[in-house]
Amino acid sequence: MASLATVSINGDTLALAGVLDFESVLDVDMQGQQWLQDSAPSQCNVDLSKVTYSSSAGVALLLGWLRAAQIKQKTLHIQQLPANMAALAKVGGLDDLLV
Amino acid sequence: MTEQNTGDKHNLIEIRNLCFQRGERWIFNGVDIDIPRGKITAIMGPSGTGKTTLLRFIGGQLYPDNGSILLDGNNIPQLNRNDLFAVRRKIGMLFQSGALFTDLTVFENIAFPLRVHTRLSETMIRDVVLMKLHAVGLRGARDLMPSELSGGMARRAALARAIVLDPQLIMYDEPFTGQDPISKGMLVELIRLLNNTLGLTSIIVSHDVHETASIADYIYVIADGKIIGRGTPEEIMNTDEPRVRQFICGLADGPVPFHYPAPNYRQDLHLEPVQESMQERV
Repeated sequence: MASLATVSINGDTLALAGVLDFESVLDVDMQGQQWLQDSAPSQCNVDLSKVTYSSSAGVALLLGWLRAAQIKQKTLHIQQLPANMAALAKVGGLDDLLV
Repeated sequence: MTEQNTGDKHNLIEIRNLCFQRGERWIFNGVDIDIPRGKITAIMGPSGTGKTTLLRFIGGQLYPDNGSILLDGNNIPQLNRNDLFAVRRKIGMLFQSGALFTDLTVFENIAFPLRVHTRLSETMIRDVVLMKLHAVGLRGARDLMPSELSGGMARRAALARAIVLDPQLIMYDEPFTGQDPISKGMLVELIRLLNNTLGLTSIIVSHDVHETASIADYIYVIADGKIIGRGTPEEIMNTDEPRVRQFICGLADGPVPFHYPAPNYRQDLHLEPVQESMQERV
């Protein structure tokens, strides 16, 4: 079955699109981790403007990418956090990290 | 899905003509209830009126004798096993007892649904569990065993577990029962936060009038197998319906009598001769 979430990379920005449910995050996690490890510049972005829905696993995905960037001493900027993800982040006390 | 009926998009659940009998007693006799999306709906009524039974119908753990329970267009009593399991993943349930696994830590209790229903990595599971524990104020209590928690903490841990898979609907069964005032206040705030921020549809089954009326958008009062009152908290609090008034005001006697039906007292004490019609209330 095709994943509900997709990744596209353009220069310093990784764009996520679709639905980040408990299954689809598994497909995109590795691609993001790989990018951050290898080719992402020291200042890079993840663009979430095309994410239509995110579960809590989508928030965990971002946390994992922030950690991966930190290990490589890169700064990952989160752009266009959807309202649904912002709400999950708020309830989970992550406003200052993600919003 | 076995049956699809789009119904009213405004409502997540539509219950129609619900009938259920136990022995000679009607628990529900033609009950209609709407649960609107993103709102908090309270089901209130005296103990033993079938409030918890209603939640079991919605969760597909019990089947009614008659009537339909449409959840997002799916008629719960007619779903096959797989479809029912798929629907249940959208439902979180906070049981009256908390129902934590006694031999697992708080962390593992919250992680349990993630381990059963997803293939998330340990790192992602940890992140999600910490987010949910933080939401209920128990991130620091993750390594405790359920036996080390106070009643209120146990209820909050159970709430974290109920929301860990991001349900669309959460059903609270007597969430305030047995809680001290501080704990009741915390639960009220949490229920409100989850509803307002995440837009969860919530059903609260309760007989705690004050707490429930403070957070519900709409209240149904059930008794004797029927809906005896419905409306906003304000409408319910100001109703003239005698049975609803008795319940809301906590009056010992009224349409629901203080005395269980009994023989004539004087006859029972053998001070008067016993007559044929014995079932006279005192």
